[in-house]
Amino acid sequence: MWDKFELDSTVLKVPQDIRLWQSEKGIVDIKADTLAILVKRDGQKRGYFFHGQGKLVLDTIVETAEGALGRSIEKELNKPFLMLTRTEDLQAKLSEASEDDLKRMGYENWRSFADAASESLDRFLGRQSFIHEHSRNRGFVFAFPSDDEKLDVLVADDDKLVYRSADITFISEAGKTVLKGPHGMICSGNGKSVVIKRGNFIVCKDCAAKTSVST
Amino acid sequence: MTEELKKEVEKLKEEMKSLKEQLKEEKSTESEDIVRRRPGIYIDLGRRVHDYVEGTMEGVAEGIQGELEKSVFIGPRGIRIYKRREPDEEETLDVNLGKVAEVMNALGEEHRLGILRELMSGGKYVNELQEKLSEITVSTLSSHLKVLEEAGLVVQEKVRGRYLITMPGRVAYKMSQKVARFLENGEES
Repeated sequence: MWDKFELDSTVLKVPQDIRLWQSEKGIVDIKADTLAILVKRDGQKRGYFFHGQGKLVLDTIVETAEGALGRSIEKELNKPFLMLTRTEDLQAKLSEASEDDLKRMGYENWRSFADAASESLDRFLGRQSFIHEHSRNRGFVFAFPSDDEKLDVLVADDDKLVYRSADITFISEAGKTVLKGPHGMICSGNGKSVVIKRGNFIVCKDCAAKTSVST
Repeated sequence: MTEELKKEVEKLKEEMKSLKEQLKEEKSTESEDIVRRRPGIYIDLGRRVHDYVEGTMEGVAEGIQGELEKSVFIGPRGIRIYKRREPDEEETLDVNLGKVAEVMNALGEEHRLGILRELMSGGKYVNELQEKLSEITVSTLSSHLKVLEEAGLVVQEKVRGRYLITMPGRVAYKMSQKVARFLENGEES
């Protein structure tokens, strides 16, 4: 439950541009002077809440024998967002924020930033359990507020990736991909693809043989 | 007294058996957990994200099922696939002429057709395209790619920078090939 989450008492800032996450399909960057506050659960460091400037780039594109489907998403991260991951690496890169840093982002003091973070987290998590555990490798959960006040969620762990927004669902794991969007739907893997686009049902195999059925 | 003791022992034996079975079941569940928690990262994302992923997969499955139901009928005597009636050649289609003009405009340049031809064999980076189309400068190549991208014939992976031909791009390129063959042979081949 949300009551198990807590925010640290120190507001931090990002002293220089930092790449939070990168894979073959996406990037999350934040710019210098972005504010950050540590999110804890049961006393354990679980991630950060950020507010500043940043960018998400995500290629939700699938290649098939019939051509590529999907698009590249580019989203400015100028609203507060949440990242749950291992904190050790990032912690060393952050410095304590001054009152001027807070004021630059429109906050009176630590309390006003913590209140805003708390309110946003509450909205993000919907008072639901949102546990994040990890061992040796890195895994990420990002929750970005969308324009319609909903939540775009990105979950990434090695070659596994799930992204869900209002109009796009993208799931990728070890060469297997599912994409559902306004343009249609595609399931691809092991050299075979099934594409459903505006009532057209196309099956592609190994970029050579193909069957096309229209409705 | 002996009878009572015997009954008590029997009762205890049954209880012990039941406890052993219970313990066995718990151990098996535990081992399943261990299998799931194989080395590497383990993210127990809680119900919220699990629900997200489950909901996502359900949505995808429902979408596929919906489309299949429209096009495929599985009956007791076999599977029937419904085909859309192909329009007659003379039939006027209700199409977005503006979009068609944009696509035709994108196709109306030799080097842009060359780019599509190169991309037909797979995604390529700008430098790879530059090597294939060495007669044009990088800036000209970029502006051609922009036109093709705006027309929806190619798409760029922003992370890797690779360009890919889209589904409409393949159709458009094949159409241009058909026109070329028609012009060369004087008839459709």
